[in-house]
Amino acid sequence: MLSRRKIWRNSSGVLHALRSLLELVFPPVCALCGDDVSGSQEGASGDFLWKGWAICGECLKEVNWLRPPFCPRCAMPMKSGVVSSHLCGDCLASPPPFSSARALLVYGDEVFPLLHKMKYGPEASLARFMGVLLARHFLWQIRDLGIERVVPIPLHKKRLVERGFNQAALMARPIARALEIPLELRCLVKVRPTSPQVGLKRSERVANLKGAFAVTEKARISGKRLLLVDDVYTTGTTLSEASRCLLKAGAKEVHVITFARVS
Amino acid sequence: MAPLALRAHFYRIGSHFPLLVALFCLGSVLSSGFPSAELWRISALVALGLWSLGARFRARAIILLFLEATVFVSLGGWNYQRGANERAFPQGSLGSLSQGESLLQGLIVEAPEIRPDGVRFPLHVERVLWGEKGIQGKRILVSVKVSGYELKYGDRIRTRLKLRDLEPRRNPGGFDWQAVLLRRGIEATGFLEDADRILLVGRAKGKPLMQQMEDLRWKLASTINRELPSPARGLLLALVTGHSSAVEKELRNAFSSLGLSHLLAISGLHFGLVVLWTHGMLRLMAGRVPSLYLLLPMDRILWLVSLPFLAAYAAMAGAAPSVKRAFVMVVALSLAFAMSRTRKLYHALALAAFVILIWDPKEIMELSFQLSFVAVMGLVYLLPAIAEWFRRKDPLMALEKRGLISVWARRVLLAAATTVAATVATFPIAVNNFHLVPILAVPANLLMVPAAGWVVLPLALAGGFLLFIWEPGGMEILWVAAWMADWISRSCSWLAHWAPKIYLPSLRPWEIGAFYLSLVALARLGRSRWALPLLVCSLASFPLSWGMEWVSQRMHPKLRVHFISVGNGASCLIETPDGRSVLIDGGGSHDPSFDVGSMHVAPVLWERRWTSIQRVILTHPHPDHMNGLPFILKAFRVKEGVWDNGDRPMNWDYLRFWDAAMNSGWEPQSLCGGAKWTLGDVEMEFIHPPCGGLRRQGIPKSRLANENSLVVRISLGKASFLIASDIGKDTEARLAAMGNITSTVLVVPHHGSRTSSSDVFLDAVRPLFAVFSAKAGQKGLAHPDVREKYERRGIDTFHTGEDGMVSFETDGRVLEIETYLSRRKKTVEIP
Repeated sequence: MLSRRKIWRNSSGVLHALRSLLELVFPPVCALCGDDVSGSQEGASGDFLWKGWAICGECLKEVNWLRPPFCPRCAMPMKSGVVSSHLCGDCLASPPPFSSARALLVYGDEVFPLLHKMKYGPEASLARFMGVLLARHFLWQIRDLGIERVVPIPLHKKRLVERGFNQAALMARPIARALEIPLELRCLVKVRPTSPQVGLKRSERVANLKGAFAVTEKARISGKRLLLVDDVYTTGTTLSEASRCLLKAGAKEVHVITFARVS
Repeated sequence: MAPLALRAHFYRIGSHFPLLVALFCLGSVLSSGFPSAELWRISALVALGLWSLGARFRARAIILLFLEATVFVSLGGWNYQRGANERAFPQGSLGSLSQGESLLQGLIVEAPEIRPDGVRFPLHVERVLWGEKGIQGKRILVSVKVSGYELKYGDRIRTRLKLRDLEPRRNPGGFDWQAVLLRRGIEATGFLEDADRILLVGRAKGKPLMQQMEDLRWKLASTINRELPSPARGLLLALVTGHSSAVEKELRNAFSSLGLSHLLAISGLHFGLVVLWTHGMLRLMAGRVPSLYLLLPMDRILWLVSLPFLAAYAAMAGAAPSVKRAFVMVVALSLAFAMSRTRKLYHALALAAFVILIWDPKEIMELSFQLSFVAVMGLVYLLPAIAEWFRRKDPLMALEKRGLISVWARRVLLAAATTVAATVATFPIAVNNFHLVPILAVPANLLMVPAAGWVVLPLALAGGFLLFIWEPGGMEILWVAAWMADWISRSCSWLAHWAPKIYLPSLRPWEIGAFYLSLVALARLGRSRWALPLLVCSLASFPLSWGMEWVSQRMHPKLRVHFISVGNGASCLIETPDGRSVLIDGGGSHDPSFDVGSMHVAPVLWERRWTSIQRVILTHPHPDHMNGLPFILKAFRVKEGVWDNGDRPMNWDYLRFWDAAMNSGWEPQSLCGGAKWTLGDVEMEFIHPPCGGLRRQGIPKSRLANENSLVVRISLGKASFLIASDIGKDTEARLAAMGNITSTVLVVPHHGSRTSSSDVFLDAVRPLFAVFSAKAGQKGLAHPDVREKYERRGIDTFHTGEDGMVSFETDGRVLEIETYLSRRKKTVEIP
């Protein structure tokens, strides 16, 4: 008699064959350096693979991961070599509304093409890949925080239609799926189109975003611990504004997770 | 562990999949030279075995790579043989079809090609009611000269037609029409004057799905063909329904001389535009409901939804190889995108080639397959290199500037770069097949591609699809499209008329290799250490190759005389030992739609690497000697002059020749008996007609022009050639009386008809070899009795119709003879 395990194995063999056929025609490429990564199964040479995307072993070594010491509140990387959990100067002076922030890596020259390609490519699948990276890396940390809802930073509907996807939402989906908690796509909305934050001063950024966000369904988040997801943490203006809005609507705590953090 | 090692190796294939497909193609090409299925199969199996053993025992990477390459080359060869062994891939022509008519019943197995005044379609002969029984069960290509537009795929017809054997390629460099037809499984051709003689026996007898598709396509095509005016109609048919043969010949020539032929064959460009249009429309519609974007992965869905539209266009466009390639490629890319795979163009292109070759291995030999793949390869490889040139300093700088002007400037630059890349990549193939350099390709493409692609194509497609729903509306849109198409065809004709025309001779294989090497080197310049040395070497190989040719010519100074196969007509190319060329007559046909000059004579000259001719001689103003010359005078530079026999009738054919000669810068001068040229060691004596021409001394008027033909005797050392043109028995007697016309080789007077070759003449000439310049078979002018007469005298005869081009080569003592089609070879010492 065929055991259940055997059937599973067989089917996985078929899937495997299909996947390798697909790989034959469209080998996965490294999201950072653009080289082919076929010929190595996941983990074989330290590569990280997801569908058509990967980060090859060499790039994994070179990526500037966000490592301690950094500010536990806003994830600002710190110069000092002392590993201790003290807040950074900015957070001591004016603490952000969210409780904590984490990022996967430090924003730099090697990450810029990746984010640029994702946003202006536009490559939705790259955003999904980045979400998978985030989910795998932060799964346990987030679980420990006791998060109940995942909320991506919204795009204004005009921009959404223009780009075809909301990269933050695509990045949030794998996290929500891994944690088995609901993803709130329509709870936080951007009610006013804003000009891009790139190239603005801090004060201008704050003014630019004033009243840009709104919460539509307060009941879904009130009293809940939320995880706010975005692609890049630059000055934290967007994330602060969104957190303030969520907290005002009755959220218990807001934690922030981004793909990259500008130092 | 063996499977794991194998599997790991198998994975590695992915990264060089395009290379493996290239090797597969190489195997296919090689296989056409070694037609043995067994050999390829065994070599594939042996290489596969060695490869897996090597992978199992972890052989060196280089050995594995070599084995892998061998496997794919052999698989390619095997695959080609598989296609070659199908029933519908005859190895040769049927041969010797009788000249009478046959009554047969058959099924139209492919959609008829619409031509400006008739149709052409492959017919599967089901029954032969009377006539040529051997044709039963075969496929023939039926051309209907006038009308026949109501015929469509799946029709069963009964008709009485004249059957003809396929014409083999008789001259080097010529177009191999027979091979093309044989690859389509066609073994004979049939001609009909008028579609009135076709009786429709049944309809819709084709394969069900195909029938549905072709019926729709036919409906659209016939509406366009019926309702719209002439030049625009052809262009719309080519753009929308893929009937590229519907374009008028002059317009097609204009397009090809401007490097715009790619517009006429539906290809990736058209598919890309259709995808962009449908995708844009779908986005516009989906944009009305932004919440869709929140909940669904619209980026994938929109691509997948636009695929059916693409499939509809592909169905409308028929099954040309460029359509298949573009469709497979676009589908592969869209699926890759929908499945979160990166869009790798090389891989998609390789996949498309692989799928098409598995589907139909014979495609590899098709010109359109080669052109379309090489063009896309060029785009994929060269465009990034060109783009790099424009923004070498900082890749981000180009993105920052977002002004309207710089955006448009960049778009125009990109379009120009695209044209340059595609034109350059297909250059060697285009030169070897068309010989015309598209000088104005870049401006013409910049003007016409947007006009055709962004205006006419969407309008015509929209009109076409609307036609099925709401006919009057569809018709109105089609009229607008036709108006635009008319404008395009007018401006193309105008541009082509003024464009300088530069013809190039055929490139040798090593030159093509050097050309592509230098392209690669140019693209890698500044990025690779050995790019510059490679570029210098490959560029230097061109003058080296020409120099070698020149030196070998000088080392073995020989007189070469080629009798070109031009059907019932004559054309002779003389290459003297000091490197000059003389063309005596250019063949010609009475049918103005068939230009012997461009189809038979010019390819030989190009193949022999001539771009200029020193002297052109017309022996007498009859179409079968003259009508091929105007094209030669247009396409080749004439360096020393044009001569004729002084007979200048006032008719269209002669005026055309006169006009072409004047345009080439030479007024024809008349030659007569007694003239003598010395070209190096070669002497050319003109021994007939007497100066002032023959008066009508008892010669009927109809024969006077022939009797007045120029007769030339060419001699080098002991070898001599007598080109007797079209003289009859009277002149022969006159020449025989003159004496001293003994020659080694005689071009049989008047193509070997019974009006000439009298015994007196043959006694005087006493040739060793005789060349009949006529068509093969019963329609040829060479009469069997005349041939027998020569053979009875022990004279070796050659026939340009049966032997193809006949070439003589001599240094004055030894005569070497070679024929192109029958591959006869002979070397004799002249006594």
